[in-house]
Amino acid sequence: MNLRSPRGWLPLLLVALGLALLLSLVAGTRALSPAELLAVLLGRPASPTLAAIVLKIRLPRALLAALVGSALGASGSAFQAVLRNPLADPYILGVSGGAALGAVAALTLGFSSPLLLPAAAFAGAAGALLLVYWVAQAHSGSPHTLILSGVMVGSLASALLLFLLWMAPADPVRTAVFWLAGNLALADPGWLPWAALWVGAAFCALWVQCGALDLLTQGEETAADLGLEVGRARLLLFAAAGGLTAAAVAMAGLVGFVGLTVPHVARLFWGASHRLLLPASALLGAVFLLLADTLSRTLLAPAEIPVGVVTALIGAPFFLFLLRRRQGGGE
Amino acid sequence: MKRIVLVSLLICCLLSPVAARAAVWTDAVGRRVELPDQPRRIVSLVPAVTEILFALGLDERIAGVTRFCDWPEAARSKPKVGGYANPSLEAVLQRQPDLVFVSADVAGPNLLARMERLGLKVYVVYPRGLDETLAMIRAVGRVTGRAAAGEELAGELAATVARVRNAVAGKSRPRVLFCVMMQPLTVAGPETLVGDLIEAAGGVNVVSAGVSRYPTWGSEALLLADPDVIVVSPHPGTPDPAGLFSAWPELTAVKTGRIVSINPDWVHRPGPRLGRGLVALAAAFHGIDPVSLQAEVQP
Repeated sequence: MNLRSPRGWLPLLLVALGLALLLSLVAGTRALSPAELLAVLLGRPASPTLAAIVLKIRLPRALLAALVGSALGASGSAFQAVLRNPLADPYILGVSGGAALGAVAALTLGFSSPLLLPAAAFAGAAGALLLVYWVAQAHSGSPHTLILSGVMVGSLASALLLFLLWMAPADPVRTAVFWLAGNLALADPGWLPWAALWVGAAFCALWVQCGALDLLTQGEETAADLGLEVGRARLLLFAAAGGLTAAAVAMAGLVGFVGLTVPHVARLFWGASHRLLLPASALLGAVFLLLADTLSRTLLAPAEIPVGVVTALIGAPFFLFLLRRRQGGGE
Repeated sequence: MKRIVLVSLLICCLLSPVAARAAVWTDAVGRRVELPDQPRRIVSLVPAVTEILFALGLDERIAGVTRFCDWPEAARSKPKVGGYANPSLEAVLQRQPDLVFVSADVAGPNLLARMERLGLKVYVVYPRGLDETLAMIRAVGRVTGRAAAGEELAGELAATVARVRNAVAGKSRPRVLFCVMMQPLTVAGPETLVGDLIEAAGGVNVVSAGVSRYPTWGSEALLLADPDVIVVSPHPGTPDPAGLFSAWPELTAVKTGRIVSINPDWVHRPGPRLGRGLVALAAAFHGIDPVSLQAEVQP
C-alpha cells in the first residue's frame, strides 16, 4: 500500500477517525456497550438518560472535538509552511493571547452568556491577527516580522489578561482558567453547523492554495522566481489559517500541541506536499483531539481534566521524541 | 512578714508582662502562638472569623479585615488590608495588629512565613467541616479573651445542628447535588463543609470522595447522578443558576422543580451564620418549616 497516494492514506485515516469517534461515544463516566450504543442510535435507548448522554452530550462534543482538531491540524501545517518554521503552531501569531484576552474581558465584564464567550474569543483572535499583519505588512509580511510581531502582540495581550484576572473576582477567574486550559465542555451544540461551515470554508481556502504552500516552503525567492505573488499568497494563507485557528479557539479555548505536533507526524507519513499534507493533518488532528478529549473525560471520571492538559501531556513528549529521532537519524 | 513577701511576690508575678499577661495557644496547624491575654488590635484575613469576632462583641478591637468581609454591615467600614490569600502586608503592618487570623484553606505557607518574619503574631484557623467550625469558634473566643462568649456562640450553632438532625431523623434522605459554581460545573464533595451540612440536613451527597474535594463535572456525570435536589447559589456572575439546568429536562430535580437557591455565605463561611444555611437546607430537603428549626436569631 503506497501511503503517499490518496488511495493509501485516505481509507486508513478515515478508519482511524471512525474508531476514535466510536470510542468517544462509548467511553465516559458510564461506559456503554456497543449494543447499548447501537440501541440509542437506532432510537430505542434503554433509558432517556442514556439517550441524552449519547445524543445531547457525547455526539455533539465528539463532532466538536473532531472539528477543532482538524482546524488546528490544518492551520498548523499551513503556518509551518508560511512562516518556514517547524516550531510554528496556530498560536504563534498572538492568536491565543488575543483570544484569551477577548474571552476573559467578556467574562470579567460580566457577560457569561454561552454565546458571548466564543464570540469575544473570536473577536480577540481576529484582532490580534489583524494587528500582527498590519505591523508585518511594512516588511511585506516576511516570516520573521510576522513571528516577531506575533510574539509581541501575544505578550501584550497576556499582560492585559493578567491585569484583568488580577482585578476580577474569583468566579470569572475560575471560568476563565478552565476555558484557557482548553475545554470542549463549555461549547454549545448549537454552534456545530456554523462552526462546520466556517471551518470547511477556511479549509477549502487553504486547500486551493496548496501549490502556493509548497512553493513557500522552498523559500520566498524561489517561490517568486517560480511566479508566485508572495505577498498576496501569504496574506490569503495567513487569513485562512488564522480563521481556522480563531474558530478553534472560540469553540474550545486554548488547546495546544495539536497544531504543532500533528503536522510533523503527518509529514513523516505522507510527505511534504500540501495536497496530501493539509487533509492528512486535518484528519489526524481530528483523531488526536477525539482521543485526547475521551481521555480527559474518563481518566478521573466523573471529574473532567481540561483537554489542553491532555494534549500537552501527550504532544510535548512526542514532539521531543520526534526531535531526538530527527537528530539521531539525520533526517 | 512572710505573708508580705508572698503577696509582693504575687503582685510582681501579676505585673510581670511575660508571666502574667501572656497566653500560649496552639493553632489549628499545630503552631505555638504566644499572645497578650487580651489582644487589642486584631486583623482578620478570614471573612468567617470576622463574623465570629463581631458576634463575640469585639467590634472595637477589629483593626483590619479583607475586602471580602462584608458581614455584618459594620465590617464594611473597617479598614481593608486586601484579599484573604494575598493581603497587602504593608497594609497589615500599618494596622499594627497584635493578632492576625489567617485561614490555612486559602493562605499558603509562603504568606505565613513572610508574616512571621515581619514579626506578626499569626493564628492559623483551618475549618474543613462542621466540627472544625465549632472548634474554631471556641478557639477564636479563647485566644481573644472571650472564652465564655465563644462557648455560647458555638453552643448555639451546635444546638441548631442537633435540632436539625433531630427533625430529619428517620426521614427518607434525598440525593443531593451541591453546585459551587456553574461554569464549569463545580460540585462539593463529601469531605467539605457543605458535605457535612448536606449530611446533617438529612440528605445524601451524590458526589463521592475523589481526587478533588470540589471536582469539576461534565454534563454526563450530572445526568448519571440524577440527584433529587440540586442546590445552587446565585451571585453577581450567575444571577440565575437554576435557569441553566433547564437544558436538561431529563433530570429528576428539573422535572420536580427541586432546584434550591441558597445564599452562598450561609453555607460556605464557617461562621455564626452556618446555622441559617443548615436550616435552609433541611427545609429544602424535607419541607420542614424553617422557623421551627431556627435558634434565637442573632440580629
